[in-house]
Amino acid sequence: MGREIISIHIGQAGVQVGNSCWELYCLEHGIEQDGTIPSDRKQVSEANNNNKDLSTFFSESTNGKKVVPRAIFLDLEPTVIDEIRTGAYKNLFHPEQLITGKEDAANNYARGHYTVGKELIDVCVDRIRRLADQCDGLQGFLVFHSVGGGTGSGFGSLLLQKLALDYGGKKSKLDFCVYPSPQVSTSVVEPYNSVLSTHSLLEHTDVSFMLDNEAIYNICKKSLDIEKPTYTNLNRLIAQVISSLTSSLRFPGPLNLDINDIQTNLVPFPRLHFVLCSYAPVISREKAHHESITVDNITNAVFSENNIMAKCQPNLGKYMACCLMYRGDIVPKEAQKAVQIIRSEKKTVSFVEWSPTGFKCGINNHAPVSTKDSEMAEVKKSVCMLSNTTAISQVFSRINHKFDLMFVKRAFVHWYVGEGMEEGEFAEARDDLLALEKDYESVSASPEEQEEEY
Amino acid sequence: MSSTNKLSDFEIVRGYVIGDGKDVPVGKAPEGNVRLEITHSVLTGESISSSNFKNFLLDTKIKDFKEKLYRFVGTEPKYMELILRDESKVNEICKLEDDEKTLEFYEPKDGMNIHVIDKDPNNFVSYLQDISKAPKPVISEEDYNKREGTYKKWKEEQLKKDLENVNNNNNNNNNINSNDATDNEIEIKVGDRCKVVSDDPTNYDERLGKVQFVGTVEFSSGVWVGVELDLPLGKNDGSVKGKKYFQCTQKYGCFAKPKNVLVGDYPEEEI
Repeated sequence: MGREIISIHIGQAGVQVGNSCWELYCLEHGIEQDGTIPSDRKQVSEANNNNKDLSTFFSESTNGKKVVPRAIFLDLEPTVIDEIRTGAYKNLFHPEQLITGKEDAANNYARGHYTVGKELIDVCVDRIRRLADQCDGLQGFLVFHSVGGGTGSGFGSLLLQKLALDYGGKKSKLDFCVYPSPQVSTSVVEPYNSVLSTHSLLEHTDVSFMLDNEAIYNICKKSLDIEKPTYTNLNRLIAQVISSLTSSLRFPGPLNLDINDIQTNLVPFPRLHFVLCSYAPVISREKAHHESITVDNITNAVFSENNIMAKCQPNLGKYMACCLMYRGDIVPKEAQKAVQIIRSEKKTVSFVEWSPTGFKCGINNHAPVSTKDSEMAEVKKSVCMLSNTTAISQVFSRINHKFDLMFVKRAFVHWYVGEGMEEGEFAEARDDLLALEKDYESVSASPEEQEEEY
Repeated sequence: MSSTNKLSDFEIVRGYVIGDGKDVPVGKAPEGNVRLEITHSVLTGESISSSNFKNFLLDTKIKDFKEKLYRFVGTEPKYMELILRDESKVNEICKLEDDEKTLEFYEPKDGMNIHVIDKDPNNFVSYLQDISKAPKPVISEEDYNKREGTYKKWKEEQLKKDLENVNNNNNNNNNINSNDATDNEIEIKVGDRCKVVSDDPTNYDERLGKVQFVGTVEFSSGVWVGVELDLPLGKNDGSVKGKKYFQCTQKYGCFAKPKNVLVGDYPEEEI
């Protein structure tokens, strides 16, 4: 039985991250830009069982000649998706998988959620339904979007509501969301869009993976030694992280973690589902001596503040749960040892008292295969860490503070009300997020975790 | 890439992220559009990490372009000064001054930068960015307690369940002499022989003793197990913070969480 997963890419950020992800998936599975798999490559992957789980992310076309991503790309305006339609991967997708409207959301949650979004939602739900009908046992959805813009936030939350309605709690919804960076705002109404959108995510997603462009830019610059990172660089790094995170869904392996494992281990309480990601071997050139990349090294690296894909200080928070997803040539014993070193030596990695599991490890031994005409070399050892820590409330605290400063003045609120939104929705969303901050505070303030024993 | 096996993992990832250098670093806008990076004197400042690219129709009039930008940056069109700069975001190409001209007239190329200078005499956008003087909003304890579905409410539920479990077990244990209980937390009862273990994986100490107390306590929340140890490796005499839960010799008493207490047929230790 299949355990299929449908990816949904919404708005400019979601679509662009999506492009990078599918490009990398194709490379890893030996799939050409048009979705075909050359027969010699097919033999190699059959021999080592590499593409056995290909069907979680790709379906086979009706004539069996190529594979098609189980993905859908949505945007309220056409230009970003037009790039796919005319680009190198134009034949990978069926035209029905690329949905665009005519009018953009003008950076306005209300346009994405109500006026403009309303016109596109039915066709989107219908196309997703068609993809779902092709699955034997749909496992869930991966949703990619930003929360600061209009489409990603407004239309994203509208679609997530619809999915919750149509598929109930049975299908997992994992969400990759680009949050505003602390130093650089891309738009003035970012705090509004983010708060309104998070209010909806709180209810309608199971796990949200937090990404922010500034943090990822700094990783490219400092840890990857790229002098002037471009936005393509940023998206490719994000793709590496997401590939790593999904490798156990796409490649077979006895020590894999599936969506359900990730969800149950990471999220002790439904509201507290905003997760940090970090990835290694991205550890700065000086440290990356040719032979010295060990399991200990990379495990240590993912706990470093500099490698986290969203700006916050984990040492000021407490961990509720932590998943380490190793990939490649990793011996379980080495992984266990590395984790034990972290537990005993790193004083900064402190867990809340009630954390039932603490660390959960998964290992996927299938490193990406390098076939003779694929340019991609094999990364021998990598690890992606997912952590649920109270430190994430720093991100919300910042956004809530900005939101409040603007909302007190009712700055730009008329743009939203003009699109049919009620002002009460602002206050409701704000209160919900302030309560979320308080939730995190209560978790880390539990007095008893100081003492294991009396 | 021919000698791939000589490259370190780090170099491979870096190589992938950089790409072959042939691709347009910002991607390409479709026909009739141009992809520009928007920076703003207040919002983004001179920061180079924004990567805030948007596609714009080339036949947009500058006055309409300003209206579009207004929705992003919040500076009213009448206070905007627009500068077209090259990819480096340093070298100025020209100012976009004529509201009636189209974007195309100024010949922008994909990857170039539009820098918006905010000339608002009231510095409204600037005011909205500075949270240092604004009070941080918080939800009051009262309002938080009124809300449904909060962590606090959930935690209280959990504690109640824990307590019910313990009570039920005590009842069960009185009635039935069951040995099929599998859950450790469920079968702890006063009088059991037990082993106290540590959360710290490097701590292999196994301290044996006898369960003297199971239940909620005043010094912490949740259910705790009081153990009289065989050896003086504990912390107290059965009392914590002035409250007595059971009585034993000083240093022989300890309280641990149920998950750290394993009951079983452990022999008594002697010095």
